[in-house]
Amino acid sequence: MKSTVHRRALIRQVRTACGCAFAMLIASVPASAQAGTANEDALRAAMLINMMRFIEWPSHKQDVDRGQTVLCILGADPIGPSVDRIVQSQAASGRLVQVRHLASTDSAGGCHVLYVSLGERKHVEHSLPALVDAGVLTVGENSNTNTPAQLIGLPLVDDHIHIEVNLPQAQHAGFTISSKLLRLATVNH
Amino acid sequence: MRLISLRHFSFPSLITAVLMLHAGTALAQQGADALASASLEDLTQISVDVSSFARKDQDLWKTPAAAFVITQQDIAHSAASSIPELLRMVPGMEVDQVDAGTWAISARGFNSVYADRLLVLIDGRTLYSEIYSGVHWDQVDLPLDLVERIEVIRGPGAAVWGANAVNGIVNIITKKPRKTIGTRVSSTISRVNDQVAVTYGAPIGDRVQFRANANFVDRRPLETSSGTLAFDGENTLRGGGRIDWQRTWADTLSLSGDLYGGHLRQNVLREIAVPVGPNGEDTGSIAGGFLNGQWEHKTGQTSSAVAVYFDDQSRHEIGDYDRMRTADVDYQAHRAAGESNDLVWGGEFRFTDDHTAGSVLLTTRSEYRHYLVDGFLQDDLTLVRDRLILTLGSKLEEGSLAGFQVQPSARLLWAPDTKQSLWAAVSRAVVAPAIQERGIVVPLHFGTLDGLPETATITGSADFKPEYVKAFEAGYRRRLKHGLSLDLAGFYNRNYRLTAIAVSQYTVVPTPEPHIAISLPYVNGYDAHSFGIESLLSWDVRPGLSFRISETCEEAHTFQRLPGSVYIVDSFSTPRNNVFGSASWEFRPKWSADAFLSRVGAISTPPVLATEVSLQAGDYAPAYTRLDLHVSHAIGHGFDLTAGGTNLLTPRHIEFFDGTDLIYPNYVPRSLFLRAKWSF
Repeated sequence: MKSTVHRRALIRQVRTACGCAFAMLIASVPASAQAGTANEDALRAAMLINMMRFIEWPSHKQDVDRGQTVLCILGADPIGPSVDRIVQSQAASGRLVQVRHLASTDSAGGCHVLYVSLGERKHVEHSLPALVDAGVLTVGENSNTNTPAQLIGLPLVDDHIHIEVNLPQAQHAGFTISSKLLRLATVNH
Repeated sequence: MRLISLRHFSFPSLITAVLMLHAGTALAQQGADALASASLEDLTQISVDVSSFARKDQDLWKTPAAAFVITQQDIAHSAASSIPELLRMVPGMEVDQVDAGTWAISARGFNSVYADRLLVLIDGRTLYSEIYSGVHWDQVDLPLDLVERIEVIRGPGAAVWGANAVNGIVNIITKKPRKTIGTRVSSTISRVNDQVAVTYGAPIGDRVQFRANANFVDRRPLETSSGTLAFDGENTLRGGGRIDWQRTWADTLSLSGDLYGGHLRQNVLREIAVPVGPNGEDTGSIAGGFLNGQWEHKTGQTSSAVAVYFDDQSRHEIGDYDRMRTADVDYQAHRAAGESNDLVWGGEFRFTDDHTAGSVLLTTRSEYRHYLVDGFLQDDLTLVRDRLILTLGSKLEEGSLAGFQVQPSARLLWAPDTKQSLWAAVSRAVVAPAIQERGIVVPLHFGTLDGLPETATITGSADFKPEYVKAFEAGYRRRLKHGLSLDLAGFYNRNYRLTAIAVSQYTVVPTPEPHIAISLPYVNGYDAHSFGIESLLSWDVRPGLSFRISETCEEAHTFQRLPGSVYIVDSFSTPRNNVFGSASWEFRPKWSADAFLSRVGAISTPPVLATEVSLQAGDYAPAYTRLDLHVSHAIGHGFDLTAGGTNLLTPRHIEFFDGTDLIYPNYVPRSLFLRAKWSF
């Protein structure tokens, strides 16, 4: 009986020692930085606007833009209020982005960026290829996989929002996408 | 590397050493202005908030509680085809399949088929059955395609969620219809489970989207110890829908509803004196539905929500029919007050009508009506900006099941930098007694004693008091380099007034024919101390390759608080040790392979009535090892195919047994599966 107790005590000691060694091993590895959290919609809105500075539009589109970038949101999307707020605050610092909330693609030809709300995706699938050819950067919340004619996808993967770029199609339509953006993005070939 | 002597090493000094190692920038939840000025690189690093702990969106790493989120990627990389099976990947969660349609699921011990310490919610609607005192997991069969995420909190959450959020909360959040536009068909064929689900979603105009869905699940019989098919199995058909209306940017209205029904077969203990087959074969049915309306108003950092739901569930089993109807109205609001206070508050009114009937009535009355009125307030008080946060809150509730209850909680989170956080908490939480403990009448027959038939009756007690827990918890999270992260949590719970059965004197009753009668009333017969450590080490090596290892060690000591022959019903029934590892690897574009290996220790708590009823010594649940493997391939055009197997290492194993449940457990067999999904 006594030896059993001793053995148990020994096992317990070894276990505790292993646990502590494990914790020390973990503690000795340097930690990495991390950037906090945000609401998903606000985060996607900020990424959408930030991303625009890494895009160069086809030359025929640049001729008509008079220095102003037109960001269109098709359908009622939860990113809408955040986009409006960011653009208003940036207008004060002189950056020219105009936001248009659209209910259909009829007037989307004048947009530089067309963010297609999930609810509208199925409706407008047929009209997107023509818009891409006309120099409209099509962006959506879903992954580019299974979303043809979407040049940029901002899907939620685990707890982060990823950037996906459909590079061949974007290049074919005459867009130039900065290597800085491509470095952060998953590029579909 | 040489291991230094750890003989004189104390845990507090280790914590201090760890915390002194690094100092850096502060944890931050990003507001719109901060996001607008952040670089794109930073934006890709920011993670998305969780909402279950404090009923508001917040940083998982800033949550002063043991939290884990099952994401859509986790679901896609899991072999699980049902929600209970998915929960196996949660550290500290004990998931045991009992028969084809029954699971025993709990965290922090005291597991049983009707584990009443875990609060399970779907979109804010509680699934707790106050007749059975637990969750019927077979009714939680919504298609996994519709799950946005599952947030799991281990430990008490009663300060905001109320009674029964004692050992954990499982909050299942379904996708908004705008995320399920189009048609999806998914189908699984396997040894244990065949199912098919169809979902169709479409927008109506600019601001309204809806979806309709239907699914059929056929849970095939498990096995007996010898490998023959057991007498169990269940099939259910479910149809439902949801419609969302974004009335303005700030307001969203949502209405969802489901109807379901099915048939089940199960083995119940032969000793129950109800009309079932000679070996306890029982056939029954389930049916139910719900309607859930929600209005959410969100502006910047403030939000409020009103939810109204009506739920109707009925079961016909063990010769008994029961129906529970619930009407619930819930309001909650979230608002920052000044620089350093962040408030969440709310109130709820619930009314339930429980009806039972049957040739042998298993309850003292056939009608029970209950009400619950409650209110809560919780404040995150920032002591040092982004570094030291004190969370104080409590729920006050008055109801016919648990009486008047105060369930306070105090939590402190210290984030010395953005890479690590340390938290500690003290809480009180209550388990509301169910009709099971107050009004049950279960007749048993035990054969003969001295030539006389021996009968017994398990009876509820009208004066059964609510069980309560004083919980002490602490945790540590740390992000390491090279994609490694660590999450540790420890708990020490003092459980009071656990359910037990008192064995009274044997009496000889002369009528209608002479027999021996034993009365087995439910009593608050035991207290317990339970404690444990839950750990998770995750390693995201690179996009497409990740590993997780988790170990949970826990145990309990119980103390009899009443004199005499008192047998505990709320036994710990949880393995001392549970280890799992998982790997997920996208080995080439559109191909991925996943593995899940777990070693679950034996459930050592002896069955309560084993000496009295027809259980064999081998009916304890010994330790088992489980391996699930599968390969997935995205074929293109929205078509995904997955093939693999579950429980591959052994032909069959038993997962749960504690002798307090009426359901007889069966063996979980090895199974191969094929899953196809098509979205268009």
